[in-house]
This record gives sequence, C-alpha cells and structure tokens, in this order.
Amino acid sequence: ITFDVETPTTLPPCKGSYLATDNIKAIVLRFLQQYYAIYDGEDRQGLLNVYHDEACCSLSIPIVSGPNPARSSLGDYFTNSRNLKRLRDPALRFKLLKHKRLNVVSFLNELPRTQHDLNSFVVDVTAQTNTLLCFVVNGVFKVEGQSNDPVRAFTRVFIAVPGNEAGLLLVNDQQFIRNASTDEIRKAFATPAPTPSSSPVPVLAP
Amino acid sequence: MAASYDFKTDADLASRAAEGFVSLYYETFDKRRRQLTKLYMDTATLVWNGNPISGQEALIEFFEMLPSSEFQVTTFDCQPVHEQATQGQKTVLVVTHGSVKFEGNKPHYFNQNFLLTLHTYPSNRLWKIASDCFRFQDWAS
Repeated sequence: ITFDVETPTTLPPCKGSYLATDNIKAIVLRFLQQYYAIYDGEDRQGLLNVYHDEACCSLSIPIVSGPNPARSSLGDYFTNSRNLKRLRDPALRFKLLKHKRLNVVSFLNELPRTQHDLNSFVVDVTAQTNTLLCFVVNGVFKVEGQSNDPVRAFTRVFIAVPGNEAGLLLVNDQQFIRNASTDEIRKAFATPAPTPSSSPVPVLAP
Repeated sequence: MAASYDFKTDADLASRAAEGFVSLYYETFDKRRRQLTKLYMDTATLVWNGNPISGQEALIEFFEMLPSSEFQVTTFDCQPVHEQATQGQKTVLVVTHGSVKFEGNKPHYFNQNFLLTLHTYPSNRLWKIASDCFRFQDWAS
C-alpha cells in the first residue's frame, strides 16, 4: 500500500508563434518586414517615423562573467546593457533608458550593423486593445563587419499605438541579446524546408 | 520640461515596481504556487511557449498542472508604458531572463515579459499582471 503523492512532471507542448487573429498577424508581420528592412540597412535613421515622439527603448544582455566583460563576445552591447539585477545606480539606470524619438533612433543607429534571419522569427502577440498592441519577437541575427560575423539570438518586446495608414507607431522597445546556441547557429540562415504545420513554422517565410 | 520630469518620475516608479515584482513573482511561483494567480488581473492573459491562456480560472488550472519549479532570474529590465497606449492607466513593461528547472525536466533558459497595471483600492494601490508571455529559449531544439 502506498500513498498517492505523484507530482506532475509533464510540461505542455511548446508551440510556434501565437498571433491572436489573422488581422493582427497581417499587421505584425508586415510591420516586422518593413522594420527589419530598415534596421538591417546602412542607416537606421529611416526608423524615425516608426517611433512615437515620446518612445522609449532599452537593451540588456545576460550577466557576463570573466575578468573583462567589455571584451567578451557581447562586448558591443555591454556598455548599454540595462540589467537592473546588477545595475544599482539610479542615474545610470535612467541614462540607459533612451527616451524620445531622436535619442532612441540615434541609440539604435550606434549599435553594430546586423542581418536578421526573418525565417527564424517566432512572434507572440501578448496584448491587444484599441490603443495598444504588444508583441514579442524571438530570433537570430548576424553581426556584420566583425571577423566571422557572429550569430546572436534576441528577444524583443515592441509596444505600439495605431499609426498612419493602418501602420504601427512604437512607444516601447526592449531588446534582449545573447549568444546563440550551437543549434541556433546551425539552423540560422538555412533555407527553410517545408515544415509540417505542427512543428515551428517560420512566420515570415515567403 | 514638464514632460521630461514626468518621464523621470514614471521611470523611477517602473524601476521600483519591477524590483519588487520580480522577486515576489518567482518566489511565489516556486514556493506558493497556489497564490500565484492573485498577482494576475481577472482578465489577464498568458502566452506560455505559444499556448494562449486567459482568465483566472484557466490560469489557476494551468499553473496547477505545471511541475514544481526552481527559477533563477539573472537579468531584468523595465520601462514605463506610454499613456497613449494605456489610456492613462499606469502600466509598466517588465522583461526577465534566467533559467528554470521544472521537476522531471531538463533545465531551460527562458525569457518572460509582463505588462503590470496599477490598481487603486480604498486601502492601497497594487500592481497586477495584465499580460504575461513566457518562452523557453531552447524550446525548438
């Protein structure tokens, strides 16, 4: 005779993008295509009309260990990383939260040039009202202009209000960047084979 | 000038909210799972590794089904959400990154983000989760 103290050990299956409705899916995917076409270009100034006047933006990277974090592989992002777990100084916390359209875009423009793999994107729509659309993009990108163009992974939260011509105007942008895993590097920028619908479907596949 | 001042106030408010929230949320998740949904609005939504769940009852059922957990948060950040998006309701975006070990499963890195809204009651003011989005970073492997 035993007691039933079995605890659950099974996790729900992981699924691909959650885009709420077809209408929202269309708006979000069109936005991302347009956004990253500019973001991956030579000059990110073109993003000026995508951000609200009072937009804010920040970036964070995982805790970097080792004697010289600034020289680590994520070094380009280190000085701008707003990790509140580590960052105690209120003045520095405030400085790293970029506020207003011009500051946001010039901040983004100073980050390394990139090439995003749109086929790697997994997008979740987390909230939608008449005045707000919040969505999260997970994916990988190549850093350009460095030896061997390293692959990075990112998770980026965008919050938008309705903009011109049924477009979106960003009010918040938070980007988390980390080293890609070996598996992510292997799959990055590979031509996607047709996938059955139950497996992760690249949402931006042509 | 007034606008910048307000932004500083909002940014500080967001920081304080995020700090308190992050430690409370994951401690509750690990140690007092049954209390967890008290942190969510009645109408809250969760997207968990692509699975949408909404409303208190569904959330209670969902969290009860998950194995026991050990979360470690190593990075978090927050931003005040612009009032034009929230129709004036104070709202904070909180993003976290760390690792989690669910009993009987291998450890995973995860990213999670929340929209917290401020609610005023006769006796106090509380932040509640309006939306929550969680993803393993190695889920597709």
